[in-house]
Amino acid sequence: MLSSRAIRVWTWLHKWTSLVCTLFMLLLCLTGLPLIFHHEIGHLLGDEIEAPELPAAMDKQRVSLDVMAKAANAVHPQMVIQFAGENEDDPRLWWFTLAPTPEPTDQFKSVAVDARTGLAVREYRIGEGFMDLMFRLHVDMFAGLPGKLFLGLMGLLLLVALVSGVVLYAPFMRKLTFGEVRKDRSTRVKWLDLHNLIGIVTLVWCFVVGATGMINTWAELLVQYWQYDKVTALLAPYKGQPLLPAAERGPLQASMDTAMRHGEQRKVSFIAFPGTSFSSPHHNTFFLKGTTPLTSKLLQPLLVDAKTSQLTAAPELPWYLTALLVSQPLHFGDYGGMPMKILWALLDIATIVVLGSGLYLWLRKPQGARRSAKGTAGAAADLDDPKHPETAAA
Amino acid sequence: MLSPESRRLWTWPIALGVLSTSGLLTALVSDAWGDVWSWLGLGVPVAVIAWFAWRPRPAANKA
Repeated sequence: MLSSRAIRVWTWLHKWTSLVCTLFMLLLCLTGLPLIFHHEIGHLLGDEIEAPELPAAMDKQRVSLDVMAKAANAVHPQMVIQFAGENEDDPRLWWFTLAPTPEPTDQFKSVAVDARTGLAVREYRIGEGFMDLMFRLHVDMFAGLPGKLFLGLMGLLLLVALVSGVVLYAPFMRKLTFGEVRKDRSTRVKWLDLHNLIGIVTLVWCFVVGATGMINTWAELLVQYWQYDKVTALLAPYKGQPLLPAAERGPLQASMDTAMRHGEQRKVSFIAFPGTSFSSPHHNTFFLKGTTPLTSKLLQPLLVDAKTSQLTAAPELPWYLTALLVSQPLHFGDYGGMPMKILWALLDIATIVVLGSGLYLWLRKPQGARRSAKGTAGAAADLDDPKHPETAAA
Repeated sequence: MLSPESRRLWTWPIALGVLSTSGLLTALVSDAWGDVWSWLGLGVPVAVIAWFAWRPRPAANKA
């Protein structure tokens, strides 16, 4: 059993870690709610691109990667292709992102190309609309990497708040049965009980979504560290070489054939072209994914020389990038069909209730303290004074 | 071992936590039974919240 001093310390920790992160967590819960259904909402808003109606016999037909790239580049002739990949839901479509230079930028375009015909279908809408606003607020609050890392820090505070909340669950629940909500007492007692009930039941989900969200904020840094730590050594023979000019590059399809030969039973997740953030100045880097539920989350990078189409290296992904990739579905809730998405949304709403009730309990506290000072018997039970948790639970 | 007091406090939270964890994990490894189990693993906690939040007041029944 906790000493009253320990309860005071845990209460202090729970109060302050929660208070600091609550407003940001409310923002993340509210913006995350539509993002759970981004796919369905995208369909409704017409943001998702559908493959043109063609005879089913053509479904397996594929033009070469060079034809698709040319079609995408024709939409933005002044730009270069940075990345490309197969559409996750419809293999008949490929997406190509283009930017003025291979450098990382927010000013990029994305074009969908029909893999059966090699014709550009349409441009994806980038950086506009309701869902994009939700996404930016959720990911970095329009503040780039510092914004991401800040939200990651808020996530860390949430995890501390969850742990301290679990520790405090015992003293508050000592005289109550599981799930008891004292509705016949004051509003504050009712919300205290609801806070404890919903908090303890959603604990695992909340911890997992919070922790994986925090890990996701480190994605850029983890990839950069890996490139610095491992990929630099693999690219030592190419050290100091400038960006390979387009005229000297071999056919893209030859590069892809090389990659697919080395990645049996795998599909293209995305390709990073020379000079972009996930490649080298001299390589087409193919990130292949598996075809089972678990391995489809994992990526195998293959560095293919863009000039000769020979394989330079197939580095194993380090454990921390594997952990990052596995943590992503656990944050998005997109790996168990529509029922899971609905449950994800309900748990998200439950978390909003926990956050809101926590805030309410803190705001209402001075009033409760004043009433108890008057010595009314009923008001004493309204308190969740850390020094007297027994009275709080009485 | 847990004291009777701790057992009374923690049996349900631990059971629901283990159930949630199993649901979160099974859907990662299987698209068939794993998904179905995940609906149960996350659905039961949601149902538990709904039941205790909206059930008729036991105190009123006793009165």
